[in-house]
Amino acid sequence: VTLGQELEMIENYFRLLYYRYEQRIRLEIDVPKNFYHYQVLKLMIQPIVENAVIHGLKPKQGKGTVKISVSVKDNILHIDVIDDGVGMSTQRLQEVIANMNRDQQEDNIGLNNVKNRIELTYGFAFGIEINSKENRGTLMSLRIPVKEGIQA
Amino acid sequence: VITVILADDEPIIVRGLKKIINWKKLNIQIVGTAFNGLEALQLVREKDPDILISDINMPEMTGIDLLRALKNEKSRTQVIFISGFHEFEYAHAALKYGAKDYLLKPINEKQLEQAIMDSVNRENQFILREEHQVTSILKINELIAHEFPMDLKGFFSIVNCQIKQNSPEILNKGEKNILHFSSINLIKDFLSNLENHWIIEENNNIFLLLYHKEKDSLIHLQNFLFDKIVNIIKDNLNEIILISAGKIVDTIKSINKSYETSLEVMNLRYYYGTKAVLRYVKRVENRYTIEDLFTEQSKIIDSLQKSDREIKYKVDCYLKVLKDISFGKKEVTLSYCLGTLLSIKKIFDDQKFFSPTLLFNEKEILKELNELESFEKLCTWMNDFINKIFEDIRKLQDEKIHRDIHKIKSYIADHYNENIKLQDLSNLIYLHPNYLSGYFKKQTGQNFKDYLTEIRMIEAEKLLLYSDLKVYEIAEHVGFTDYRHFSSVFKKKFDINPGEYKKRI
Repeated sequence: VTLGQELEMIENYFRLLYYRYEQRIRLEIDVPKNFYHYQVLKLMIQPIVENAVIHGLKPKQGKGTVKISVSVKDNILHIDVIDDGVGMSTQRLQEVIANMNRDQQEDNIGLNNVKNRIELTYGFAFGIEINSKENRGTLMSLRIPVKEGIQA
Repeated sequence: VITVILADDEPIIVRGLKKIINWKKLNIQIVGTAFNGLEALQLVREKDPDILISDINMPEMTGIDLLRALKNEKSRTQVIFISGFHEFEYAHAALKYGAKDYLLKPINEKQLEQAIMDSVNRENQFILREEHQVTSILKINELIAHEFPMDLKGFFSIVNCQIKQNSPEILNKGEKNILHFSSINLIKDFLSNLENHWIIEENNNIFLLLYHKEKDSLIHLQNFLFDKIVNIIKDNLNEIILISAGKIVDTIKSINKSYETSLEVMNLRYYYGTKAVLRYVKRVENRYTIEDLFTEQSKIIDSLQKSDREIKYKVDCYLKVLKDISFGKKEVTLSYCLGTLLSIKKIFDDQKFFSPTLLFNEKEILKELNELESFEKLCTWMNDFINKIFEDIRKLQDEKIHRDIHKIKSYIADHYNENIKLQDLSNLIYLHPNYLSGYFKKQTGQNFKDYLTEIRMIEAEKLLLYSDLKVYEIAEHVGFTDYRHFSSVFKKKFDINPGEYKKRI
């Protein structure tokens, strides 16, 4: 699919969540329109956003924001999903990264799945990087090669 | 790759420089070497390197002339000078002409590495700042074009907010992004219930555009917002947010002025102060000149020499001039401070005054000065340091005085029976006879002549009591040539003639 299609799908999905969480969550998309035709994997960004809402914003009191921003550098597409939710302790972050890198596991299926698909499709040079700070938020960065979309 | 040209008239130094630094590790390529100023200039023109490392004193063209020529040509090459100690003043001046750094010989690898990395980083910072300034002012003008009626009457101000990390922990790029993102969301949430403000985001900067019909109300609004924002960031993230308010302007057309001044306050926090919230204040520029600074410096040295208690006032005057003439250029501020300390050191070294405080290493002291986070702190540091020198010198002077007086008194004790001349005492403590009695009186509270007489009378009394000497013999013994004179002096002191005194026993 194209980046534009994936983002549209996420917006629709987020609208559902918005009402489920009593309008206390917000989605920001900071992506230049001229990136919308780049190819991405289907359901590549959506599980990451879902993760941010469920693990980051849901346990947080008050308002929360998820922001998707995309940049291109050296022919690599950088997709950042950042939230200002509860974040993770250093220990928890290590566990999540370890789980993501394991072949088979139950927890964080979405994350593991996305990472494996990126590696299978584009090679081991690409993947997911996670940064997190307790009580501040989490940043998930996806890196894939830039590929032009086929369809208009 | 960073490109470097080396220039020194001594080939051995060029070769040394090539060897002492692990250029490869630093990702630096030496693209040329020159052996005089003219050669260096031509080479820079030809190769356009990032950095020129040059001796300050070369044949054909001095370092400063070279620097001036490069500046005139708007060369982007940054210059680091190498200078001998005696050329220090000269290197100092080079900073004024825009040299990035100078290093004193002999060159130490670490220092050179540091200087190179500093100038490379400074260059990057410069580029970053330029880019970000362009885009945020564009964003502000775009916002105004879309959301502001151009005839809106009232007062406007731009406020720049930046997170300053409070914790000592080093954050990576991702963690910094998280911090910035969560702080801007906190500010947005807080502001969402309020009116008369607009937010402009820019990388790690947040700009607020504030508006109110009345100027006083705008200031009021600012104070309220600043206070809240500082507390929100402190409570939720345990970090510090720096807030710099630009000039308040009375028409939206002048908003750029407010924007520029907000950045000025933010970038020149070193001079504006360390408080979290700072406002732009108009500065009266350059009332003083470099000559004034040297005048103030001599006054400090003068006060130190005279042990003048006014020293703090003198230092404060000096710092006031320093701030005025070097405002906004920390490197210049610091090199003047160092220059002043070195001048003091030199003068007291020449006078053989030993002050432990003055046994400093100039590179270390410069490093220490550089780490002070504001001009205010620098002032405190300078005051403390000069006060320490002051105490050192006062103590030494006290000791010297003590020794001088002791010498005079022991001389008198040994020679009271002779005709003591001022010149004899002068030779003892190397003080001109004309000043000697004044000096003695100032330190002991007693006239030198009176002191001598007192010693003689004490001795005379002893001799009257414990010897069989005749009164005229005693007079001679204690240094009187005239018996009657002795007698009258004795009477003045004991209210009795020496002859009668002896009879009474």
